[in-house]
Amino acid sequence: MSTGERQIDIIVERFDPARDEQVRRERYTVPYDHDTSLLDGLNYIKDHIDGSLTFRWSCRMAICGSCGKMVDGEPRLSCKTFLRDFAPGPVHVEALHHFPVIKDLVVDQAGFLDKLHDARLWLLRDEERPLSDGPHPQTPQQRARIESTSACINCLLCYAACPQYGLDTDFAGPGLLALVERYNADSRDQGKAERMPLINAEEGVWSCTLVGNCSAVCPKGVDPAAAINRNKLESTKDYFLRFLKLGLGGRE
Amino acid sequence: MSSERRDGPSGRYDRPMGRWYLRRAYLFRYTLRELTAVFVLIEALILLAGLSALVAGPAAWAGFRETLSHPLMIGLHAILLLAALYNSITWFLVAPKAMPAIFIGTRPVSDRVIVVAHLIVFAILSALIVALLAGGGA
Repeated sequence: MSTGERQIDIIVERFDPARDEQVRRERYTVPYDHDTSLLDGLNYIKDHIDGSLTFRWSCRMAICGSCGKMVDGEPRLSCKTFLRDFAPGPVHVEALHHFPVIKDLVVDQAGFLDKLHDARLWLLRDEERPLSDGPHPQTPQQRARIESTSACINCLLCYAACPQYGLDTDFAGPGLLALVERYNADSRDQGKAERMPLINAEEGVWSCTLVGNCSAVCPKGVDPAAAINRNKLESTKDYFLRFLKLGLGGRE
Repeated sequence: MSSERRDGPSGRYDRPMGRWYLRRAYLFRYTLRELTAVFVLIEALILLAGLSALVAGPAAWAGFRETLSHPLMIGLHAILLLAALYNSITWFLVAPKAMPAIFIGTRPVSDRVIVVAHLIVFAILSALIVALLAGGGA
């Protein structure tokens, strides 16, 4: 990090599981210049002031999705957040909301990762295509349908922005449901029927009340609110079509 | 969900959610949008009462109209109108999220275009209805 003459205070909500019952606030002064990100600032604290400060990060370029924090109350990637925009400060940094804090700025992501594990989010086929069939081409129009949702980096900012997830962590949540839509809308996928129970469940799309902030905070331009609410229509169609099938003497 | 992998340290901090709707401006605006639905319901019930008065005969209808002309009822309707406008307009603002995606070729139609189109149609239809009512009353 290049050190400029300007300084800004960062207030960090810290939590030590060995001794704290509550989060506590620590204030640090860090140097910054035009290209100092919040992540640079946190690394400055760790390198020069307090080596015990704990936070996740990896790529520094908004693609690994691991450095999400609450910055002045809004979920943001700390690598994509610049201290210059918060001058004269202080900047208030907390762990992502709606997940249990393990230490300082690190949260337990199991509430999301377990659901991601169970959702079978890859291309599902009735019958696998043999490699000898060659590539499975898509037209630009078909690709456009999954362009936005494919950009998800699992950073969980949308979960930290969603009060419904905060109130009920059984809710599948915006990120996961956007990924479900990403595969359902893929012309090469045939797994939609298999994913409908997840969408139809109360913890699926119906727990969403369209607050809409998930889409506003997404650093990659995914629109989970739209993905979820479009699937309310799909879920309704699915429900009535099943009745229709039963009425016509079919079986569920 | 599987729980066997949730074996983090015993000391963890769960942030309370108390009064979450007051924490950020957008959460308050959202809560207001949901609350104004109650006002829309009240207006619907008043309309229903009017309809049943109409069915009950001229005396009941005259009584209903007299109730409506009471200053308190006019004040209530002013509040109901504001709440209904807030409810309608904020729902039009999220309309792009609730409708099927529209593509022109490979380009999705932007949310802004969809919202503005909805608001224009809403304004035109509202103006038509007001004009119709004003014409009918004359």
